[in-house]
Amino acid sequence: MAITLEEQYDKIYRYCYFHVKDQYLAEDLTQETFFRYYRQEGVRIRVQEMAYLYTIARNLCIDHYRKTKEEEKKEKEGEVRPLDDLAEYMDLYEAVGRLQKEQQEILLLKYVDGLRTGELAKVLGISRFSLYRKEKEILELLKKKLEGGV
Amino acid sequence: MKKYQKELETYFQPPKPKRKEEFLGQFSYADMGIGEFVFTQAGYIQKSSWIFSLLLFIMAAAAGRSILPGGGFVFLRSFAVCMPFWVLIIARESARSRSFHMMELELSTRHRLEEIILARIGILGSLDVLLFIPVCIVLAGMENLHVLQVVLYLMLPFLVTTFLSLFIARVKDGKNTIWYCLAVSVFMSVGYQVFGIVFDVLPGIEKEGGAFLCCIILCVGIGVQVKKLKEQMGEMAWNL
Amino acid sequence: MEFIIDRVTKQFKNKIAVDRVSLKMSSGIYGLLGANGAGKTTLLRMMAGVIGMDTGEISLDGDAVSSENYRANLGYLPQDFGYYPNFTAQEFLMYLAALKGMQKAQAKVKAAQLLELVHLNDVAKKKIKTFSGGMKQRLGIAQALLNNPKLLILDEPTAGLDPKERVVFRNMISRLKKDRIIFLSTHIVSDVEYIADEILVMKDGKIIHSGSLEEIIKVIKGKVWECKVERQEAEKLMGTYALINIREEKGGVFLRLAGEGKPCEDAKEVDAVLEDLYLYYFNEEGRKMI
Repeated sequence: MAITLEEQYDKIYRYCYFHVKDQYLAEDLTQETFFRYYRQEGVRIRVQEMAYLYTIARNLCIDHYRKTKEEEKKEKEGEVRPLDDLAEYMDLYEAVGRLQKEQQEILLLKYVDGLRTGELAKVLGISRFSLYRKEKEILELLKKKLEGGV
Repeated sequence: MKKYQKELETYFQPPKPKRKEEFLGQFSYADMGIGEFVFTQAGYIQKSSWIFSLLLFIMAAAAGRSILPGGGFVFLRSFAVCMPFWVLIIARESARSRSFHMMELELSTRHRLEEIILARIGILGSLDVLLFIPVCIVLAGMENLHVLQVVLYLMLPFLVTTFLSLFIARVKDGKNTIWYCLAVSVFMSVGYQVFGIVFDVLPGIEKEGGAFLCCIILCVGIGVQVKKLKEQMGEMAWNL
Repeated sequence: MEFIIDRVTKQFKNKIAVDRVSLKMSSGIYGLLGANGAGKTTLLRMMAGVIGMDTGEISLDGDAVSSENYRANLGYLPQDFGYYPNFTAQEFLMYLAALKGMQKAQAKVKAAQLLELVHLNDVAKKKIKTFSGGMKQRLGIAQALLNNPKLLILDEPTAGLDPKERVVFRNMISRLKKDRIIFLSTHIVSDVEYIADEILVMKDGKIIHSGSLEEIIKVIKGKVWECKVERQEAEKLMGTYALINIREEKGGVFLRLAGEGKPCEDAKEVDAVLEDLYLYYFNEEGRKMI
């Protein structure tokens, strides 16, 4: 079955939160994303259009950065996460945490949200080839960090 | 990387959104898509329609069996004779909006009346087709006939009944339309039995062409009736 | 937001139900007044896409009335509607929500909100066949609002509502008019008198008058009279003037009339209200109402 509006909301919200690290703001941006999409497209929001939704969300987040320039600050602060299962994942978390923002973004969009390569490249505004290169970098970096290293 | 998906998900997990419910309640622009629409309509088809369809099927099979053991042809005839009633079940489902005065509302919604009826006919029809495919194959095997011959034999009463039902629905539009359709179905059913017994009809190679041609003509006729029916609905003549 | 009706005509057999009606509307409340049979329902049905027009066009922000986009922005309450047997109020709303393309989760939230808005939340799970006329009407209003429509078309929405419910309805409509076009047709003047931004008067398929309440009233400003006369005189006057009110009193008949010129010597000119205008236009129907 096609993705529901609620699921779309959750995904875009998660993505916006990744960028701005503020719950209230992330929801604002999420809702604004949907309104903009609606205004442009009329009535329909379909699964295939998820990529387009991400693009709108991304632009909104970037616009927000430009306005507030609080990017650095927000990146340092994180949200406190429940610590139960974290012990196992500590290594992975640390590893991911040390990646650059853009690299984390790729991880989120590709491996968590399941965007396909073509769509992902479009959202990020880079070529497929660039994307492929970056992905390789990420995987290598993670491997290194996971297997112990800087 | 794939094996780490769960972990990654946890890493990126945001705090619970607080205004999602409110937003979803307001923002009613999301599309349902044709597939989901048809699926939801299936839920609104009366349970009795499903039950009758199946019962009819069982009845036809039982009747065929009991009348003459070892006679595939009788099976064939018993199914053909029941055909008009499958049409009736579908007709009843299509007439629901009309009978219950929901037509006007259903004409103004995004997924209109035509789509609703089409969806319901499609769903019930699909069930019937699914039931019939094995039947046709078995019957063909039993009586050494080609599957197509069996299909033709069963299609004929189906199409004739459909054509007549549509015609009646158009001409005798009103609260009692469905009873007229019932009469048509009974007439067809009985007529086919009589016709069958008298002529012991089974399209032979020569008669096949004729039967096929009849089916084509009937399909065209049905198309015409549907078109006219649509126009008539457009007039809403029934509501003035 | 722009809703355009352009030279729309509809003819049934020999009768022209709607005669080259043209309107341009933006957000606000529009009240369509007219006697029964004036063509109101036909016009509304065409606006709701329920029947086709013989000539002319109807569009909302560029979407033609036949398009799915148009219907997606439309909420319609017909003059009369039915329901599938054994439907509860909630099931009814869910069914229509599905037809409007709303997904289940959303529809549930919205249905609950609307049932509360129309004060039907405590009977949400009850079957519609147990509802009174007024309750059913409120349910109808709820379904029209499901998809948050830009264009809300209501045909005789207060039919079956008691005076108290009518007030509630009026208030509700007033609150909804922001960023929406609400078009309601009625023959009950008080429905629109206070809430409509623009009033349209329809007679014989044509819009014979349109404007704000003050503009409309101007037509009969200075033409409404009250007087008390003998019975015979009353009969005569009733033939030439539009009768608004008549009362048998000691020593004669009290009349409230609308028309040109003083009906009798000691007639008093009174302030005109919308009801007077309505009866002035619909002279025939007005007289029948006695």
